Amino acid sequence: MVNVKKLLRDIVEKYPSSAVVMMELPTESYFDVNIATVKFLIDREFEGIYISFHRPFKNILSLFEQHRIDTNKLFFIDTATALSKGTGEENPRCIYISKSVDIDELIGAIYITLPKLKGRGRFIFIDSITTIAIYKPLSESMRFSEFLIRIVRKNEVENVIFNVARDLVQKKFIRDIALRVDKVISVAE
Amino acid sequence: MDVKKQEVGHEEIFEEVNRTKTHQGHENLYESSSTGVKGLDKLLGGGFPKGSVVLLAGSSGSGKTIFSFQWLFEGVKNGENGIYITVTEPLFKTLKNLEVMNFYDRNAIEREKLKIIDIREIYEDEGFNLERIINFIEEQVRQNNARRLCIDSITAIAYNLDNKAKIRKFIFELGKVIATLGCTTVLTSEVVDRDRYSVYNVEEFISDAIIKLAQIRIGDELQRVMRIVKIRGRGCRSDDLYFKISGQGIRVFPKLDISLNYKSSTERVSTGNEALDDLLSGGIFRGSSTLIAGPTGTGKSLLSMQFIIEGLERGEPCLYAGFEESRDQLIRNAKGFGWDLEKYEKNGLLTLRCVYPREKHIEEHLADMGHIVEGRKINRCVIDSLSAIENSFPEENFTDFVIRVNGYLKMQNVTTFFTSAATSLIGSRRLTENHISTIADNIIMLKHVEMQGELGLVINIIKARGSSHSKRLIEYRITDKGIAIGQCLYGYEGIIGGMTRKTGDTVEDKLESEFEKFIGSETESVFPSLKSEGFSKENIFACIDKLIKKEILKKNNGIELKEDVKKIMR
Amino acid sequence: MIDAKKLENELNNIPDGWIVLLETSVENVLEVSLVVMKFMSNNNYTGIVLSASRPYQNLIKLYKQNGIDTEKIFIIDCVSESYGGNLEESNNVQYIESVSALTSISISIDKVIGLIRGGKFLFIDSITTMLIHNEPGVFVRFIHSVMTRLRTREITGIIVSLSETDREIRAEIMQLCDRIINYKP
Repeated sequence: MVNVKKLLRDIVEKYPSSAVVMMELPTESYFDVNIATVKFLIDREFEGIYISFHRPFKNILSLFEQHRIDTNKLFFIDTATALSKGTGEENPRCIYISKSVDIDELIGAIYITLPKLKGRGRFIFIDSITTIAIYKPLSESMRFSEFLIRIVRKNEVENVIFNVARDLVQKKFIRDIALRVDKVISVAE
Repeated sequence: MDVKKQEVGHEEIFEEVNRTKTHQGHENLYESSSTGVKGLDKLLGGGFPKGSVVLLAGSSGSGKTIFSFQWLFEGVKNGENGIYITVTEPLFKTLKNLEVMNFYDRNAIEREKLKIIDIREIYEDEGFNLERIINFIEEQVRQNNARRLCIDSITAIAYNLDNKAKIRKFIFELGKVIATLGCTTVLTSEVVDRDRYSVYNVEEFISDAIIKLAQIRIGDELQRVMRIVKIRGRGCRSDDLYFKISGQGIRVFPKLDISLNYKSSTERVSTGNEALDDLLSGGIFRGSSTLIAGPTGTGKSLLSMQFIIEGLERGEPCLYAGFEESRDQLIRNAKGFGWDLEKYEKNGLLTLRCVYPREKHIEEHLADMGHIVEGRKINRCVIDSLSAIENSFPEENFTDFVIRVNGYLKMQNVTTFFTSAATSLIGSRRLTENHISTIADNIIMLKHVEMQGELGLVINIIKARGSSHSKRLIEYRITDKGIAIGQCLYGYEGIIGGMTRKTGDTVEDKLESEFEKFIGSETESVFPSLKSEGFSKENIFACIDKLIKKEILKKNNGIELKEDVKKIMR
Repeated sequence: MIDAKKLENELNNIPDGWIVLLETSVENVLEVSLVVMKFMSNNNYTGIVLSASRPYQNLIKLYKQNGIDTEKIFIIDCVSESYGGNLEESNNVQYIESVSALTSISISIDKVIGLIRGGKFLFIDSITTMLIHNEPGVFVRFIHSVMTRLRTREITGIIVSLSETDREIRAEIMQLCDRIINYKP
């Protein structure tokens, strides 16, 4: 696998103030690249919001700790727990979103969390944007990505990163996002 | 051309021209781009002519975007890729409004069989550049092999140009490029005025077709109307077409076409009441229309029901279009007379359409009925009642409705009963001004009359086109078997006015005299029970037969009495 | 003939609660499935098998023939009832009316998880077969929901996918997984 750290370093250097980045990943490496991306940013003293549609908060926490990612630099928005009909343990670093994956609720959670980010740089990481499209109509997925791009343009965060499995980049709203982002990085096998 | 071709008719020359054009890569003139809008394609001769430019004009909220998308999604269904270019709202908002529509196909959007583009992104950073926009559109059409293109709206794009000359240039250039692409194109135009179709007065000139959408106030309601202003190369009607927007998208209700060019049958059909048939010299002509007029409680619906039952028992498909009672109420009421409407409805012979007039637009009512009549090959129809419709719509709409529904049903050879709560024909403004009385072939009047301290019922045949008919005023009763027609009201006058006066011997008096003549004092016991059964010929003759059997009356006298009864009852 | 050792090595490193996608070919899928089942049951895990390919009777026979302890197996059989097969009653089987009855399958999985004590794992054989009978969007939602529930309870999930699976669906599901094992002999 191509050195993801090098790719990310290039972005951070090229776009010091703000960037919306889409990374097209080999489908098989999706999980590993996600971990590598978050680790890279945390190691550079960024603080971020990790929006998880796949993994419950409890699960991510142990995963990140296994990979030695400082979870104190992260705030989590967990939609997965409710989707699995579970209830999450209360934690000041996590907001749980209700089962309906309400976009307004998600946007509200981001607005609540943004002021808490104090690092050298701030980022939002979405795992994964295509999962919204499983649960919501296309218009809501597009509305959410539009919102994310706007908050970067308004300098409320420095980076928004969309990691997308290569086989999913042909999806309509992914292509639309690709047109709007600052950089699309294609990660080779 | 060889000699044979020189002799050919006009059609073959035209085909020759067409074949040449097709060979050169142009769209066949006669091919159409189906709109997907129910009711519209037929009016357009199949749809928009392929390769044409259609100007879709209307104010905000008139339905331009929904129409455009309905057309585009229809194209995807037919294997034609489409492009929708917006300038007016963010894509997610456009999609949100569409996602509730039945025609929306998420897969078509995902796979970009229908590509939606926000063109503002092209010029947001670098400023509006006429050439860039046109090149971009051309590129998108070619890249996506699009056969349908919508620009929503041409007004908003042109607005970015700072003077009229540039606007005109842009629109003409765009028109040229679109024409070369051969892609059927819809340009939406934002206009407020009813009689305008374009903002810059140029858009109309590059368009092969113009459709105007508007909302007009009728009474306290806003109604949506569409007008096909022009469509090059095809004739089209120019009146306003009512349309509706729902979860199914846009649906147009074209006016039912009527003409006087229909055949008239000489076959007579029964009204369902034998006595009434006698008054009508054997029934009414098939395909004729009959108006049953009378105030409430006179049995109009009941007579209509008998007419329908008669048809059902003969295996004729029937339509009962009720505007006052619910389906359940009709079924319940019919059961009271021993008629099982549900049975016929289940086997498909009877269609009960019960809708309050106000629930739908008048054109929708007509379209629904037309659909049922043609789909189920209806033979008999009852419209109960015209008064309910009259009270719900403006007068001119109502008159138009009556003329068209009557004309249409006659064209379809459907024998029809209309009921109306008109109270009087003589001096009645309502009937004559609404032309019902002139368009109906037969008119049967039902009235309440005051008679000998009781409220009675009287039936009279005012008119029966093409047929002789009884002109007598005849009393009738509503029984548990339906309408029972009794005897003529001889010996009374003032019936039409509602206040009767006895002036001479009535039929009852005459009958009583005859019985007294033949059976003497026995009349005192026989006559009251005969009266309670009703003075129909059948009842009287049955009574006479009983008297003969009991030897109260001799056979010869019985025959003579019967003859006398016939004369009285004539 | 597959390299069982190679496969077992891959499976050995999977922590509890991980979701694994096991990709293989049509020719190898049966053998691969048997290796997985044997390995997991030998390591004291009770397997909940969601079978969209083989009926209960057939599976039990295969497991017995291959020395797999069938006391450590519970089968959710989506095949027998829809094909009118014989529904043998047993403590370790639940019959589902069809492969497309996703709600019933989901409820059944929850129920069975609740019944089994100790280490357990869910084995889905196979998503490729299930996709034939289900609309893709709905199916991905189902898998997402099931997998997320497994994660919450720290139960391992092993999903079998054949190489013919539609690439987009495969990608959606791969995003859910913690490890991809692409088995080629």
